[in-house]
This record gives sequence, structure tokens and C-alpha cells, in this order.
Amino acid sequence: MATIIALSLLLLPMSVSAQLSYHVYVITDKSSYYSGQTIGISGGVHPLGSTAGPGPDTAVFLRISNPNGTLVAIGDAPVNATTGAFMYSVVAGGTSSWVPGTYTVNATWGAYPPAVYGTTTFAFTVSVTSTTTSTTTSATTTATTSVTTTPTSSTTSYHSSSASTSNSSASSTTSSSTISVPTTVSSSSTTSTTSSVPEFPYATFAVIGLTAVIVGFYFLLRKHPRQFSPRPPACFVS
Amino acid sequence: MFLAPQSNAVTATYSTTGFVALGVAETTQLGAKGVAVTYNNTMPMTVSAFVYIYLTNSAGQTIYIQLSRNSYSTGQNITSFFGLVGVTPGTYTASLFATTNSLVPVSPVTTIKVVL
Repeated sequence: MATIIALSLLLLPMSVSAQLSYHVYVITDKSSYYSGQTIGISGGVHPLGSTAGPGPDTAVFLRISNPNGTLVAIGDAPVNATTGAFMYSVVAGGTSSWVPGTYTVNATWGAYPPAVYGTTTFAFTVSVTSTTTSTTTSATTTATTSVTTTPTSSTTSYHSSSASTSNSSASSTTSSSTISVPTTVSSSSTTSTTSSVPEFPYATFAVIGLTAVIVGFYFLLRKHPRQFSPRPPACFVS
Repeated sequence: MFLAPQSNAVTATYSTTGFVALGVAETTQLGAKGVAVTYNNTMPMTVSAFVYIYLTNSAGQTIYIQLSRNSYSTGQNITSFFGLVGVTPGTYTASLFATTNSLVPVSPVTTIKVVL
């Protein structure tokens, strides 16, 4: 038994050194994109525990799949022989397969079989214009634009939910403006009330004025009764 | 008695010079306009490979992907024709390359301008 274990330990380094193991990593330059944006994909191929490259004339096969698993883009990027780095770019959108959601990037490399691969994900949202057209015609353009032009690092499911939240808040804004309409009406009614104040009381002032004249004339008569007494005709004056 | 065979005999070493594109051309077959490409297997083994084509529009967006599968023996030339049926008329850039069955690239990318 001990002999078997000793022999196995002796053979282990031989089988390990027989074939190098490599690993592939792949990343995107952003976590979220919308239609028309360029997706920058980069990565590396290195022997395990090393930063060296895999040698000349190798490449990675890149596949981008939508949330349903449909292939939306493919590519073949050469790998740097000494550094192991590779770069690739593709523009998002172009076909109906670009639906909102989380996309998977798969980079496969295998100069020495079996092939090894690395994956990463990114979120995709619809473009600004299409979102604006899909919203209502109420004055909510600013809210919609802010949602679509500042994509977050979260997945698109979050994105779409936040977009719908934004739309609902926009509709609530619309309803609040509707609520403010009665206020305007009441203010206008107040204005009409002000305009319906009775006109100047000419009759009252006329009565008061006439009464004042009569009262004044009365006191004048009492003060100078002879000046206002009726005189006899001249034929009666002797 | 317990010595296992040393497994340093690599069964295949793939490189992007393994397949060479001998010709890429825009042709018409059976009334369908498309792209024909001929690959030559320079590797000392038979390789079952995929030949891919994808079209990009003027904005750089991928609008068409198609593949053809063939088994290439050593030194063999095989021509693949991709009929671009259903593609909207216009000017596109067609990119072609080959991979093994396990999706390892064995050729560099070859591009050609296509007018439909």
C-alpha cells in the first residue's frame, strides 16, 4: 500500500507537467449599455499562476447572448502572444433580438484542448428615443430622459422596474397638476366675487345729500325768517 | 507496473494559422446573393470546423449571423456559401472566420464589403 502511494506521488508531477492549464477572463468597459453604444470587451488568456501570454497565433471566440440565450453577436479576437490580452468591440442593437435584460459574453480559447472559457454579463436597455415615444405625451420628458441616460449597474429588470416607477411618478405628477386645477377655478371665482361688488350707491348719497340740503335750508329759514318771508305786491304797499 | 503513460502527447494544437482563407467573394447561387469562402486546412489532422459569417451595418451593429459546418481533412479545401436571404438591401461588411467544434478559433477574421 505504501509503495502504491509513493509511486502515485512520484507520478503526480509528471502528469501535471504534461499539459499546462490556462484560464480566460473577460470583462466589459461598462456594466450597462443602450442601443447604439459600443460595447468594449477585453480580457486575457494566461497559464494558471502566471501573467504570461499563451504564445503566437491564438485567438478567442466571443459570443454575446441575449437574456433568452439567442446569439446576437459573435467575434474572433487575436490574443497577444506575450501578454495574453485581447480586445474586441461591438455596437449594441441592430436587430429585434436586442431585448432589454442581462446579456452574457462568453470568450472561448483553446490552443491546447480542451477549450477553456470565461464569461461576464452586462445590462442592456432601450434607447432614449424609443423610451420617449413609448411614454405618454404628458410633460414627463425630463423624468424619462434621466432614467435612460444614466443606466445603473443593476440588471435591466431593475432598470425597467425603475423606469416604470418613474412613469408612475410622472403620471402622479400629472394627476397632481389636475388636482391643482380646482384651485385655479376657486381663485377665479374669488375674482368674480370681487368683480360682483355693488356699484357706487348713488341713490343713497343722493338721498343723504338732499336731506342735508333740506335740513340746512330749514336752519337758514329759522335764522333769517324776514329775508325769506313773502313780500306783499307793490300795489298794496302804501 | 503502475507507471501510467506520460500524457504530454498533445492531441491537437490549434492556432489561427491552421485554416487559411483561399478566397472570399460575393456571388449568386440559385438566384440568392451571398458570400462564398474557401478554407484550407493546413493542420496535420482532420478538423471538424464551423465557418462563421456575420454582417455589420454602417453603424457597426451585427444584423446577421450564420454558420456552416464541415469536416476538413489535412490539406483539404472546402467552399462554404452563405445565402444572405432576408437581409435588407444595403451595404454591409461581412466578416468570416473558422472555429473548431469546441469553438476554438483556427483562422483570423477575413472581411469583405457586400452590397445587396
